[in-house]
Order: sequence, then C-alpha cells, then structure tokens
Amino acid sequence: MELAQSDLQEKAAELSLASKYKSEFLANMSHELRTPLNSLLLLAQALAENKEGNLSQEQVEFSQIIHASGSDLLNLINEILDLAKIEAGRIDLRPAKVATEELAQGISGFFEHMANQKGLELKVSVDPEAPTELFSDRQRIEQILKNLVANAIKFTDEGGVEVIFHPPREDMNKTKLGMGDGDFLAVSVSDTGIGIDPHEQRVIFEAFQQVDGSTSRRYGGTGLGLSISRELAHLLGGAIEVKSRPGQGSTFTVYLALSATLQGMDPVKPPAQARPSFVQESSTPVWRDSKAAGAQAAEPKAEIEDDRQDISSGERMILIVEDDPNFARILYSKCHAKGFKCLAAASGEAGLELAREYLPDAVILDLHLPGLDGWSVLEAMKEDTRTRHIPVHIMSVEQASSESLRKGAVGHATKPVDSQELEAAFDKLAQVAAQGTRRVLVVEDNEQLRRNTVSVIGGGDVEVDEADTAARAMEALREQNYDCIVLDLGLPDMDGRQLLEALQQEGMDIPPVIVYTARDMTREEETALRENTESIIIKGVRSQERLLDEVSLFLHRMVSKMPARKRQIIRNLHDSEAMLAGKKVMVVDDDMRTTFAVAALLSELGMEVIKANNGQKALQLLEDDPGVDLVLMDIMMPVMDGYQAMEKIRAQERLVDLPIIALTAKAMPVDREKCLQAGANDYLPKPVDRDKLISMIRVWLYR
Amino acid sequence: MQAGQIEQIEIDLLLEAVYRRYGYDFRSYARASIERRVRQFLSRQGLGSIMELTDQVLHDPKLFSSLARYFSIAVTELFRDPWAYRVLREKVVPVLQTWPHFKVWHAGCSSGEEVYSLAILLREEEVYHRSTIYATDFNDSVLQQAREGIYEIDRLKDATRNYQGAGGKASFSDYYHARYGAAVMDGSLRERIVFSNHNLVTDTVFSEMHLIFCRNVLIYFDRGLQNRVLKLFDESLVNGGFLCLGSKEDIQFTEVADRYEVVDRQARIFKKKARP
Repeated sequence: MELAQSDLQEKAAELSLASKYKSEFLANMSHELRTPLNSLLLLAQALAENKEGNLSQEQVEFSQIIHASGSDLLNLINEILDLAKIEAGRIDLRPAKVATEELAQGISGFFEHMANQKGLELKVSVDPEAPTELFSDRQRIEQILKNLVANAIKFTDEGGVEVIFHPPREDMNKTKLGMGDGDFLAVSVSDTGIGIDPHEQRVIFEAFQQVDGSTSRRYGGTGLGLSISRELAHLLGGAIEVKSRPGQGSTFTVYLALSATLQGMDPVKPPAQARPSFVQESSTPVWRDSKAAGAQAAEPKAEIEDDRQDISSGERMILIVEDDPNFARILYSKCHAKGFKCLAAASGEAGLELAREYLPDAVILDLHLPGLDGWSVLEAMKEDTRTRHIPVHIMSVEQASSESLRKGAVGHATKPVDSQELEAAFDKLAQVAAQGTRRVLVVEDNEQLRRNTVSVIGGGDVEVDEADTAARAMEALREQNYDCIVLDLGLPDMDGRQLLEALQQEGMDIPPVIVYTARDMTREEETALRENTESIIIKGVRSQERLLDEVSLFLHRMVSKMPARKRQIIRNLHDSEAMLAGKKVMVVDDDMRTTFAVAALLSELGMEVIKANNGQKALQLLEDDPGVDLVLMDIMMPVMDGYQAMEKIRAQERLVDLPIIALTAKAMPVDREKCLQAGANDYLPKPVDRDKLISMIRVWLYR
Repeated sequence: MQAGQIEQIEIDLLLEAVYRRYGYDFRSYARASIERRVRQFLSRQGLGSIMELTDQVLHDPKLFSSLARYFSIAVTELFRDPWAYRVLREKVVPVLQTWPHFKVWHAGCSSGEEVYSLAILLREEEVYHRSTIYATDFNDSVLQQAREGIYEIDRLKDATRNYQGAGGKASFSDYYHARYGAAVMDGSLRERIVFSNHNLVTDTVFSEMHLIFCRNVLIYFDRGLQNRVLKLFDESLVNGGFLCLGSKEDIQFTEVADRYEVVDRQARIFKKKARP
C-alpha cells in the first residue's frame, strides 16, 4: 500500500516535471521559430514593396500573401509562447490598485464598436454590491476579460453579450474551482451564441482543443485564448467557470481575488542575473546540449563575408554581431544601402574582438549568441574606454525592455523586425554616431539662474557650457559647435535678439535656440522672435520642466530628415516653379505653425513672404505695400476673421483682382461656397498639402 | 422582420438624407442617444413616423436646424464639475504661463457657459491677456447664443456655488449683469474669444493649440469617430499641451492613449508627451 502510494507520488512528480519540460521546450522552440520567420517576413515585405518595379502584379500579391501568412504564424507562435511562459511560471505580475468601474468602462469602450458592427448589443454593468476596487494586475485582468468578451462576440451571431461585475454568488464552490480563501470579484460574460455541449466544457480550457475541428475554420483563432485566460486567472488567485447549453448561449464567470497574493508563484520574481531574459541558460537540458554539441563539433557558424578587406580610412562602418547568417545577410545589404561598410561576426567573442580592433561607428547586436552572449558583449564594450562611445542597437527575439537602455544600448528592436523598424534602427545609429556627445550653451547673466538651468539640462551625454554675456556667448559659438542654445534675452552687453542678428550677419550656422526669459512680450514681438528661434519659454514656477522637455526634443531630433526634403526642392526648382521666384505672397494666419511652414516652403521657391496674424493686420499691410501678388487667407482668426477680411479687400477697387486663396479647416461644401462668396478665388483644405498649394499658386499667378 | 429592425433602417435613411442634403454627418454618433433623440423629436413635432420626418427634413431647412439642434443638446453649465477647474487652475495654468501666448480650443462649446467659465478663470490667474480662446460648435444657433452670453437668472445660484467650488477668487456677481430675469456675461470676457463654426465630424485642424477643452461631446460619438476626433486634437496640440475631457470620457483604450500622461484622472486632464 505504502509502496503503491510512493510509486504514485513519484509518477505524479515525473508527470509535472515532464509538463514543465514541455513548457520550457515550447518557450525555447518559439524563439527558435521566430528566428527564420524574421528573415522570411522582412524579405517578403521587401519583395511586396517592389522597389525596383520588376515584379508583376501577381508576384507582388504572392509576396503579400507570404507576408500575411507569416504574420499569422507569428501571432500563433506568440500565443504559444505566452501560454508556455505562464505554465513554466515565468511571468511577472505587477499588482496595483484597480477600480472595478474603470475595468467596466474599459471593456465597454473597447468592444462597443466591434459588437455594433456585428449588430449585437453589448451591455456592461456593475452590480452596486460589487467590490469597488481590487489589488491585482490590471493588464492581466484585462487580457482575460478581453479574451472572454471577444470570444462571446465571435461565437454569437444574433442577440447580445452581457458583462456583469458582481459579488460571487453564494453557491460558488471554491474548492471545486481550486481557489484559496479570501474575497473575490466575479465578472460574468454571457452571450446568446452557439453554446457548448456539457461534456465539451472541460475540453475548451485545454490547450490546442476546440469544440470541434471545424470551429477553428469557421471562427478562426488558435483556441489558446481560454487556456491562457484560465492560467492567468489562476495566477491572480482566482478561477474561471463556464455554464452553457448548446444553442442557448454560454456564461463564463471569472473570479478574481480582491487581493491577489499571486498564487502558485513567487510575486514578481526578478530574473536571475537581473536580465530581462525569460530563457535562462540552465532551463532546458535538451536544448543546451544540442547547441553546445553543435558549437563544439564545428567552428562557430561560418561568418558571412564582410568588407574587412575593403575598408579605407575615413569610411563609416557598422559591426553586425548575429549568428543567423540569413539575417546577417539582410543587415549586410542594408548597411550598404545606407552607405556603411559592414563587419560581421557570428559569435560574441568574435564580435568583441572586431569591435576592439576596428572601432566601428555603430554595432547591431543579437543577444542569443553561441559562447559569449550579447549582454556580455555590451557590458564589455561599455567597460572599455576605447569602445564605450560606440552606439549599440540590440536586435533580438527577446522582448525589448528598459534594461537594454539602462545597460547603454541606444535601442532595442524585437525580432521579427519589419522594414520600418529596421529603417528606424539604422537612422538612430547613424544619428547617434554622427553626434557623439551633445553640447548645449546656456547664455544667462544671473549666476544663480544659470547654475540652475545647467543642473536641469546637464548630465548623461549632454555637456553644458555657460556664458554670462553676449560677447562670451559669441566667443564660445565661434570656437565650438553646439546642438542647442538656451538664451536669456536681457544680457548686460547686448539684447538677446541683437546677439542672434549679429551671429547671422557673421554667417554663422546657428543651432536651435530656446529663448528662456522672464519678459512678457506682444504677439508681434513673439512672431518676430520666432523667426530665428525654435521656442520661447517664459520663466515661472513650472518652466523648468518645459525647458527640459524642449532641450531634449532638439537634442534627439532626427537629423537625417532635412537633407532629403532640401534635395527634392532643389530638383523641383528646375522645372515650372522657377516662375514663382520673386513673387510676393502675404500669408494671413494666426497659427504660427502654418505660417512658418508655408513661409519656409515659399521662400525655398524664391518667393517673398509677408505675414499677418489677423484680417485687420492684413488690410493694413495691403495698404502699406501695394506689391502683393497673392494672398493666402486663413478663416478662423481673432479680431477679424477671413470672411470679413476678404469682403473688405474686394470692396477696394484696386484689389478686386488680387488672387486670394482661402485656407480652411472646414470640409462641407457650404463652407467652401462661403469662402468663394466672401471673395476668395479658390480654397485649400487645412492641413495644407505642399504640392496642392504650389500648383494652386502657380495657377493663380499664371496670367 | 421586427419593428425594431425596421426602425433601424428608418434611422439610417434619415441620417443618410441629412448628410447628403445638408452635409452634417450624424452617422457615426452613438446610436442609442441618436435613437432616443429621434423618438423625442418625433413626439415633439407630432410626427407619426421617421420616414415622415425624413421627407420633411429633406425639403425644409428650418426643420433641419431644429433637428440638428436637438441632436446637439449638450448638458452644460457655468463651472460644471468645479473640481476640474480647480485642477486647471493649479496644475495647468502654471504651465500655460511658460508660453508667451497660448491658444485654447473649446471644441463643442454649445451655448458657451464653460467658455465664459474658462475666461473667468484665466482672468483671475492673470493670464487672460496672453490667451486666444477658440470656441467652436457645428450648430450656428447655439453658437449665436454663446456669443450673446445671456443665461437664465435662476441658473446663477448653482453657478455661484460651482464658481466657489472651482476656487473662484472674487465674487461671481462681478462677472454678469442681471436684468429682466436674465443675466448677461460681462462683455470684456469676450475680448479674446473667437466664436467660430467647426464640425468635429468633418472638419480638420485649424491651428496649433496649447489647451483643448472638449467636454461631454465624445460621449455622443461612436468609437471610430472618437478616435478621429482625438487624433484631430492630437495633431493640434503642441508638445506638452493639455487635453481636458468630460467626466465620463477618457483616452484610455483609444488610439492616442500612449501619447499622453495623466495630469488628473478625476478631472480627465491629460498632457501630451514631448516627442521629436
């Protein structure tokens, strides 16, 4: 008897161990599956874009199908991974206060549209007796509820879905449901859908089983949602039960512990070695062995060919540390497309060696590598003074987390990456590599204030220089390039505005200027000042945080955007736009954003621009300056709106033929009619489209 | 087919007719509230069926404006939800002060009570002279009412209590003149307000904004339209600008949610995160 019992216990232990191995195996396999998918998705996307224009319509469609199917496969793998993570006990919970009412609002907001589209009624209510809040993991609760409600909507063709937050019914059987003691909030999701046969009600929670095989074909999905929900509910100290009869709908009830002590696992366990990795090296013997054996049997996977034989000094280069040769190939050609030479390493050791030998401009780093892993490579690079400044971008199947940035990476893309992410990563690397440390100049005569400002924006990779007079500021600017200037207007030797003008006259390339002043100014002064400055901050109790925001905005702005636009404009100038040069346009708008954007565009085309910020100013300017060739008129403005202004312009005989284009945010035909009636020759919808604006101006100036 | 379903078709046709005839698009308004209002309007007008209404609305612009007005009735009052104004005063105005001039957009201002409330608050905080307030609504007749700023005198008692609750610094009577059973708001409060017609359903961004005030408007819209409007606001707001919604509205679970941080949950005030 005793023997039999211990035998049984042993069997049970084996079984649970086997199940744990299975989960860990799945978690690892999911990673392994994502690696080839990464290349597959990227290349399919690249093909579908048909950049070279050499594929037929049908071939493009095929590529799109490959991409779509690959994405489906990826979703499936993600769900499997999710489930495996829960079952292997490798999931972090973040309990906090959660209000019942907010959960209810969230669900109702999220699904209303979907239910309406299907013609179903969605009712969400909170029983007055229901607990008003709980201490639990909001994101996970929402994951469960969203899953249940989405299912209910999916399996209901007629009628409705009702969600009630309520106290548990008296007949709740805690033991049967395997729940602990304590208080619970119950959420019932009822539908009028197809229902579930009693003997199948147990099966639906089991992974990889649906009521019948055909269900998935009709309704889609992996059928993993309920298993995931059940496991999550269990983790949160609760359970899920179902009551249903075929043809009469189903009710799923989830019980949530009011205070989730997070049953069945340690609360928020930090991963060993403080890594955001959920695949720990010791986890699966099967997996480790095969990889280790492979690594020992042969040399590390052959590295792809790279440019190391072909690098002359002064050329920019990127080091790729990636053991998947297919993805390395993709990165290799991307480097070339971006104008970088490329070095490639298939192991951490080789990567580190190349980094030290060649000191590349940037590094793209995988985390799972044979031998020395990516984290160790990153750490070693950051410890070495010769390599610490090199920007490193992580690309790995591991989920991105703040950990990577904390360890000094400039970015972290999770594989599979799509082509936009890849693009963004390269832009980021190029930008950081080009910038190195960023420098800010603070010009302020009051020492106390200056020190304050410096301490607000300094630190990290931002170096701050100080100047207490305009003369010192000019000196500093002549000697050194700055990424941003913070400028006080009232300086002892010269006004801040004069300083800017003086710098311009010297022909200096002035970096973005943030005016930081205690002075009140009129609208005209503000507009004038904004011509040479990026933003203006008035000192006050809350001004420091805005200063910090603005400074970091300018320091992190993508530098790569500008040249592309400039190039395009230079090309365009060769054709029909040349006739626009020298014409004078008045822009009437109180929105500085529009005014400046339009003015910048027109000036690039060689046109002269004058500005007015309301109708009355516009009339005045027209009186003073008879040479205006065309007016761009906003409608909604203070003091005098666009309709009135246009009527007044047309009332003057000499201005009857002056072309006026109204800029309007209004979309209805009547509104446009109104613009024309008030005297506009034509109108353009806001936000203003660059090409439309130019072609319209061309039409009205071509007489 | 059931009566309810037939009614659905009738309402679809009515909204389609209104859109095609007048350009006003109510098709994406929250369905339940539109249905309720159509029913109320029918009984008020003594009409027998929705089709009858559709027929008349198509040919009678006057009837259309009263219907449009009916659709747009928004519950509003001076200093509605005083706590929200208190948060504006304490947490938002100090930041607005860091711009030399700032713009406020009160979208869906209805008859204007809350526009004046905001103007009073800005004046008391001594930043009114630096502001431009755009008060917009799609309905010209409520906009006219807002421009006039005349309200029934019996509503002033509640208003006075709200004003005090909102942290008012003076006596509320400083801001209106009461006569003949009505109270007219002090004309100087209008100095920096631009009343203008703007339809959130169809129109676009018209200016850069530092604070957008849109309360109890989104609740009448369906999910898709809410997202459209929130994107419109997002395009209008400067980095670090503020969005203030009604007490039953939220940006959680919408497409713009991750671009904002919560300034005050109860007051539904959000701040747009700085982004390059």
